[in-house]
Amino acid sequence: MKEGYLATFLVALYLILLLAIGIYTRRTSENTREDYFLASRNFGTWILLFSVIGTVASAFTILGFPGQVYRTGLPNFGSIANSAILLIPITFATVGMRLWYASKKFNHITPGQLLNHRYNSNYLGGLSSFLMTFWTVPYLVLGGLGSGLAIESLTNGLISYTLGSGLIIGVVTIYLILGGMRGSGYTDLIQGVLLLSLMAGFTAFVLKTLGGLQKSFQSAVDANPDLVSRGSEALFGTEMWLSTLLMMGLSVLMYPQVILRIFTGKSLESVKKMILLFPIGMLILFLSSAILGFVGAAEITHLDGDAADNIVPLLINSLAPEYIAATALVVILAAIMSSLDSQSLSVSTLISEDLLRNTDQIKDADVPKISKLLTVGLMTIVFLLTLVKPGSIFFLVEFAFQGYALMFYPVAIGLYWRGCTEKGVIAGLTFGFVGLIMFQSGILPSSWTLGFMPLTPLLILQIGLVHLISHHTEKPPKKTIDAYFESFENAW
Amino acid sequence: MGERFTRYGWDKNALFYPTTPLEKLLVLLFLALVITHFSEILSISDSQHLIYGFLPLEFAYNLLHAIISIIFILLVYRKWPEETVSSE
Repeated sequence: MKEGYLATFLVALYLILLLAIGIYTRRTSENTREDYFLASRNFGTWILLFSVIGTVASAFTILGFPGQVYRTGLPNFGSIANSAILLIPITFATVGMRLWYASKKFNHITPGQLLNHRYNSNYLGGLSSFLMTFWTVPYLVLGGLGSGLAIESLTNGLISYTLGSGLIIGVVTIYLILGGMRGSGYTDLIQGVLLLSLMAGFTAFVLKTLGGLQKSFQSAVDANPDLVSRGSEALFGTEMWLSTLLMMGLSVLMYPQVILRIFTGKSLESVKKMILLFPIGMLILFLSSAILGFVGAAEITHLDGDAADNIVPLLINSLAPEYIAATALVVILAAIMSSLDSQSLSVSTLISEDLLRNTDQIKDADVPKISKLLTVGLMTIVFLLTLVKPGSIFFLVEFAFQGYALMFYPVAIGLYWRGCTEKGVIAGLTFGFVGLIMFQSGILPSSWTLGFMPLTPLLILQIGLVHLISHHTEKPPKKTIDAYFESFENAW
Repeated sequence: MGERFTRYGWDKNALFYPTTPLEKLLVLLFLALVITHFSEILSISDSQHLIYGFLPLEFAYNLLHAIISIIFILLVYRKWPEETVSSE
């Protein structure tokens, strides 16, 4: 990155814009739980769409994924992007919509409250919220860490790692406290639009600079013909291909930040339109990232290992004038911050609504205040962890996607099968969590997965377990089940 | 609603069972999309063939597959079950 002054200026401008949005949303907010956590369930199609895209897209989408294409080739597009484009909208249209119907009908703020009510349980909500929090917190630390690294690198050291991550975490904390879900949603709208438009713009610019699509692709193929086919790469074997499909498809709806976003949908039509447009946004993002990673392999060679994750900023920096290259930092920050804010809000929502509100003598009106304090505390811990960079965080992040995916079936089945019981779901959630930890920590031998990710065999066993336990345990009250299924009459 | 509840076993009215021709078609299309996601069944996963001399065959296939997946979602959107109760 040239001198870094322009990038520093753009970052400052960008953060001021986000703070201004936070201040604006405070003026339109009410001090109620439903407003702070779910923006009074009033998000229309566009806010819903871009906030879900911003939440789902992360540093992996615009840095890690192109890096993977750079290292192992274009089949990553088929494996990762196609899985996301095919399965995520289907899970949204089926399970996601049923969650939306039920949350709206019974005024549930969290998925944990929905599960407790559906199964007449006192524990299920707490368990699901604990698991969602467990898998989400490491990502928060990763977001803080990634933002610090990106700012230091792309401002040419003008802003240090510590100051950079502190600034990002601080700004996110402020606009969350000011506007809650509304602040998060409106800033995500801006960040989502920037992310999509700038990534598409960068791709068009790079292709034009390299002589067009045909010439740049030919150069990339000439530089490394192995990048166009699966070859002997284990990542692209049928077992891993299937595992990736399941992991990408089933995990995203289990992000607490995505479920809470869906709960904010104003009407059936706004959620439906979001589901329709979401895969188009994902296609634009993943296609741009794949093309940049692929053509970058011919332009910038010899990036080994994790260094390949810098291919997009390096490519843009090498081809574009400074005023374009500096905006790359804004794109990276948009991807990181739109995930960071929604993850932070969702974790504080789950803790305050599902873990604290039920156990203490807390008035409903005080819950948003408690959540704000939790947000400050959580983000302070995140900042401290970004300074320490504990290895265990990276260990958890490596398989968090599988952890989310192993929550999908136990959560979803009760929306389709009346016979499912509390104990069946508890057994399924616990089995998936413990089994995954045992595989990843080496207690169970990796040979038992038969070449699949641990997720695949665990999912099959989990499904059997949920049904077995449910068949032999007491069902929840029929009246409650009827009330749920009545609200699903116009759902897939 | 009462007779739809069974204490044990599958409740076909509660689970998503394709009963109408449209539902059956959508389930079949979805299964076809899942199966064709595995490009090795068409023996193109190891191909280094370039369409028009520059576009990798498997990449083009995956791109087409993604576009068809989006068209499938359009179908799901257009044929959404009729709303019988207000969701507003």
